[in-house]
Amino acid sequence: MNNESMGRVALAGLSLAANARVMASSIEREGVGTVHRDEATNVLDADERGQIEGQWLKIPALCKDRSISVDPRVVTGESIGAELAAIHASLDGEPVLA
Amino acid sequence: MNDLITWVPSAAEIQQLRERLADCGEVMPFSEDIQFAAKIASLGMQRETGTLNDEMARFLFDANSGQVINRDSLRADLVMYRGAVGVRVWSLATNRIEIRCPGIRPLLHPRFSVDGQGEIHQLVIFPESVYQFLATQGVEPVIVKSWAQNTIFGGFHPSTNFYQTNMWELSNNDTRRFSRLVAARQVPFLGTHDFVAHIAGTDGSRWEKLQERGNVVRDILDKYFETIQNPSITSLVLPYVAGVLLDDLAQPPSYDDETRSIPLDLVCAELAKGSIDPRERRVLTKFPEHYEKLIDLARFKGVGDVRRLASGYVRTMVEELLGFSVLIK
Repeated sequence: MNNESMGRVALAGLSLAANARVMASSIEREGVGTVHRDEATNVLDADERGQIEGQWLKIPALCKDRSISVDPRVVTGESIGAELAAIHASLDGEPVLA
Repeated sequence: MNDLITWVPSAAEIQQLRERLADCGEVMPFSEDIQFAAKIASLGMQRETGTLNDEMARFLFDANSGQVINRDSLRADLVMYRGAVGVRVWSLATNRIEIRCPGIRPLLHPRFSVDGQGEIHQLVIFPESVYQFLATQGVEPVIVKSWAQNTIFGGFHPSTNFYQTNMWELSNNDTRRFSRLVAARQVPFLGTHDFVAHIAGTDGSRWEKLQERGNVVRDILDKYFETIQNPSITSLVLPYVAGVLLDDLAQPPSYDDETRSIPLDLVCAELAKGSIDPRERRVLTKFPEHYEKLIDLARFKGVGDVRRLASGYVRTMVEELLGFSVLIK
């Protein structure tokens, strides 16, 4: 197996959604290869010039990164408070409290 | 005069906003041009509403059934009132909305959102009022140009997770920018994530420590990357982890949370040591498995577990980054 085919083995078949982008970006950033996207199949393929060995990428749970640290729970009757009430009223031309 | 007016921006108006944004500095405080900033923030929230990127939807419940409102039923439009631009969100499935996230309700315009019985029938939010609320807490909302260009004006498609934020944030080294914002007591306001996770419930008195953390992360990253223009993806992973943890700590329910701050300090220590040399050219072939373990530990375990395990996880992540990457000679 020559080096170029090793590169193809590494990326062929990985969809963009399956996080091949990390390796693709890494290859491109270091200038050791070029990455192609097959528009029909939405998979990445790479030509590389021999410096890396092919390995499958696994990136877990990327979509969880920007989570919100609030558990949904009942929140009722939160008071607005005088300061915020004044801020809302200022849209009507009322002065905001000092 | 006393009613909301629906504002449907024309293609020319959208183009004007896009061009105005292109002329901005990278970080534009709302105070610089409140009307423009309010339009950008409102547009961001309106476009996300009801889509996969709607981070407010899971906190909106049908007060009749007690069930979370199906996001497909959520609608949003832009509104104007006495010159102020805002966003209105409502549901086709119910006119009694219950919000199960603290801090949102006080930011709704009461007259347009809540009826005489205290029932929320729609959510009307004016970024101008949000800006004034944050000012009372000593925090400033900002538009971050490149983030707005990537999201609000970034080829939006409502049925896909178009932001693809994770890889984008990682390769753009966004933690550096985010830490600068935190250090300056600034919060981005571009969409539902910023509004729900970072703005609702803001407590300025608890920003003292957060601001200090922002300073520390900023200084460490400035020194780590110093003059390096294009660091390897491998060297960007630890800064990315720091950014995820700092983003968590910048959310009101997690202010000062030790389960996040302990791992953040450990990651910062590795960066300060230069465990991954950012000057080296390394191709990353596999993402470190201890990334997810560390984030899960920080978010879902108690402080005792974190104290016991976090150090080993961070150290192993560094070893994985070195082992999973190939050094280019």
